[in-house]
Amino acid sequence: LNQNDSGSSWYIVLGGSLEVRLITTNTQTTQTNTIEKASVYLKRYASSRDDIFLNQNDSGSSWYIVLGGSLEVRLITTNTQTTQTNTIEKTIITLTYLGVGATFTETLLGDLPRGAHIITKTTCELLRIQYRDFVEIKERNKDVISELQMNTKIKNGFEPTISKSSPSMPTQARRTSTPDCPNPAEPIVESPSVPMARAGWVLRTLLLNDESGTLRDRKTSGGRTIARRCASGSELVDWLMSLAPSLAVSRQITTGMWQALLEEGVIYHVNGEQAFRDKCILYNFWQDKEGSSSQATAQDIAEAEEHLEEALLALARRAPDAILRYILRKQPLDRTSEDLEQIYEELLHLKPLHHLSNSVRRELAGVVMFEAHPRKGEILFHQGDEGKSWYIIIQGSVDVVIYGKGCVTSLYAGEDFGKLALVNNAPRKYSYVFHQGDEGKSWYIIIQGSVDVVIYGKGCVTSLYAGEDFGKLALVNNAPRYKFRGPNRFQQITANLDVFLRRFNEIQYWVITEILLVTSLNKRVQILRKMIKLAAYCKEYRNINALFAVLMGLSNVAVSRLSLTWDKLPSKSKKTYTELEALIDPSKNHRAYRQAVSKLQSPVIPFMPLLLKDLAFTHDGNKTVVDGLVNFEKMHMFAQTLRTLRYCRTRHLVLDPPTPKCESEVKSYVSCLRAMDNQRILTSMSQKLEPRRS
Amino acid sequence: MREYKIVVLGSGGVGKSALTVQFVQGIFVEKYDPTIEDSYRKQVEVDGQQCMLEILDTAGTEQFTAMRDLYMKNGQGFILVYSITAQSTFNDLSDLREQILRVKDTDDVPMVLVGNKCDLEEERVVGKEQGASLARAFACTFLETSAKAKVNVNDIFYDLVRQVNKKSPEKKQKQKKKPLCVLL
Ligand SMILES: Nc1nc2c(ncn2[C@@H]2O[C@H](COP(=O)(O)OP(=O)(O)OP(=O)(O)O)[C@@H](O)[C@H]2O)c(=O)[nH]1
Ligand SMILES: [Mg+2]
Repeated sequence: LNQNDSGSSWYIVLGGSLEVRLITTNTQTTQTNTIEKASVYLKRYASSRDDIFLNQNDSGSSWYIVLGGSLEVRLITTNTQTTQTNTIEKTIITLTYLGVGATFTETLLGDLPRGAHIITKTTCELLRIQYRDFVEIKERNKDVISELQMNTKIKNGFEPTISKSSPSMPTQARRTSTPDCPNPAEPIVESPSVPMARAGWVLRTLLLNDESGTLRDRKTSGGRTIARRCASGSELVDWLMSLAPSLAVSRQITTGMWQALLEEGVIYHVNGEQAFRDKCILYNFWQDKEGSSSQATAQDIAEAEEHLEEALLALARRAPDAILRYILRKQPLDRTSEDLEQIYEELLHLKPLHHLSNSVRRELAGVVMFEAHPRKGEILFHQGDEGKSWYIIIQGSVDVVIYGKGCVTSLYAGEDFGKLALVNNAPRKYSYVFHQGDEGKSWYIIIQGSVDVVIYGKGCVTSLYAGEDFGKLALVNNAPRYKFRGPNRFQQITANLDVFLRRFNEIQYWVITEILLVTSLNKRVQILRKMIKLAAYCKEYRNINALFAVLMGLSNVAVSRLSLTWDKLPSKSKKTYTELEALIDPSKNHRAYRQAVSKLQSPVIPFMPLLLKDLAFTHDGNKTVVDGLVNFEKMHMFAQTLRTLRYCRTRHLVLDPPTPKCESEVKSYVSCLRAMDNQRILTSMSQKLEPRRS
Repeated sequence: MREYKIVVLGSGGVGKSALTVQFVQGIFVEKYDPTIEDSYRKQVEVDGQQCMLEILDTAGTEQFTAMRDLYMKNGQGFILVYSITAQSTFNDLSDLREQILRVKDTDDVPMVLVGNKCDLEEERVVGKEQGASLARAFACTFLETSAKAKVNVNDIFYDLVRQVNKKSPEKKQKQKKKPLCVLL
């Protein structure tokens, strides 16, 4: 919430705590820890000067979405008098870190220069939407975009605290790291992940041993150079498909499997220009590219064969994502309608885009670009740069750094208020009041996490704790005007809830993916049986949320239509499933579920979406104020729902976890389930497994 | 009594919840408790037959595809709602319809296309003919409604009941002969 905004909301803190601060424009109030922190970034900045990719006068031109890694956003103060480098750097301030799902360069919306630097904090994957494209879409969809404007994470973000003449970073040695055409042949990570490196090793070992001599030295560039041990894309696809007939994946997926290796730098296009394509284009493994002449020993081959299945599964799971990233790196003009459809479906899952209509998303699908920043400390753009791109973080996080300005400390994950106020200081705040005046009737309830409230002005720092309401704090206003209606509008402070909900989808699609990846009928029956068992375990441990996720996975059309598989299921499993499935029947307002859960002792993990629905309808179905009086019935109902939730966690879970042989492996598998979530692909896989009987 | 599950779908803010609450509750009350069994149920008489309607609305779980899929799977009749004051909400419906057909695995699904907020005539951007022609493309009924002014709200639900009846007439149930009532 920003200082000086006209206050029109009343807040009650249900959990977490709030800090209220006043910020003076005077840098003397800068806290020591800020300076200390600043010096950390100073080093980082210095070491990565070459990687700055957008400078002040660049006409950068995209909106970015971060797919992976993290970025740092920095701002330079306007009131730094001296131009000596060290003075400036001393006042670098990290504004915030941007993590997965965040967007930045929202200045785009207001066509303003950038007010901060953005620096990669970890390996990052971004989606970028260019300004010129964005403007076109904006023209056609005015109403939607203006709503977006009100919902952006960092508001107009990096507002122009800096004029063009302000101290800027040395301009030499800057090269742009967001070229208009990303090179599709470049790896998106600094070094291959373990599974991909291993999969690459397995395939190379087997290829070297292969009679057909698929891998061999060939002439390229009109015969002038020799590429070592390479093979054409089509040959590699053929070979891999012949290697794994049991996997029965399509040519497209197989291509994606190779692309997954290419994007991690395990294989390369020999001239470093092409992504992996099922064409007569040559590729080789990194070892060969670097001139290795090693041969596969008999022991290697045995080991490779042993790990083949695992490698293929790992590749098959990554293939859909790799294909998507490949499409996202294609030039918009080269995208086919199928490509667009795929991107569109992917965009449906991006939170920053949730309040956009499907038609706008369709247009975005045509222009959004994928960008990876493998190194941390890379500066995406500088404060004062012209804001011409909007970014969404898909993976990783970024730092937001500001120079000078003082009195800015760190903010924590999920606490977007603080970020907002910090980034959105000075001139902007006035215009915002007017923009949002009509919406000033919201009521904020913080369910979890804590929020930093930062005020610019004249001292007066106070803290608020859970349970306190602070309607009196009219000075703390200009919050994003999210209505209390579920994660859609209320996204700013429900990061944990979001992760939790995403987990539900993850489990659900993982169940479907695992079943559909098995081509042998008998094995598929086994997996199905296992999944039902898993559901029963979830119930036993009262993880009803996960139970529902598994059950909804099993009842997804792509799985439920596999009648051959269901027919062969042992009757005991069938019975278990029928019993469990009754729980997800929504009849009579989910009576089956409500009854079952009311009998359970804490700890319970409840089926969260239903609690959200209850809250939403309590809100929509009851007036907050009746005849000028607060409707206490309504507040009571809110409290009741939240009390249910609190009851669920009154006791700790006590159980002896079974100790599997390879616990860490299981843990890392479970914490990062890989799944396909494209219903169309899943349905078509399902149809391939068991064709429709007419 | 025959039960009908009706799913309400449409972009955010078009008035789905308003329609649901209006239909179920009829009038504004101080207390509408959405956690009880009957919160989304209403008994109505259509063509002389008593029916129990249950409305499934995914409010509050928009980003949550699972709930929507679950409701689509369980629903027998569908209400596709747009607001006549926002073109984008109208454009979004084709996708939704496709999803329904995919989940239902059939082309014949009882459905009503609803242009809500027709009390806001001066803000209208989606013409009545536009709605009617989309309904023809969907081969479904079309109604313009206002949850606020209570225009045509009940008609949506009655029409759906008729469509469901027509598509799958109630099986002449081997009605367990109800025991005769004996009075003393
Ligand atoms: N004028 C007018 N306003 C309406 C009508 N129906 C709903 N509204 C208003 O439109 C807004 C949104 O209505 P909701 O019922 O919450 O819409 P919804 O489709 O359930 O929205 P989500 O749950 O966010 O998807 C509310 O402010 C309603 O008062 C109507 O027929 N006429
Ligand atoms: Mg609603």
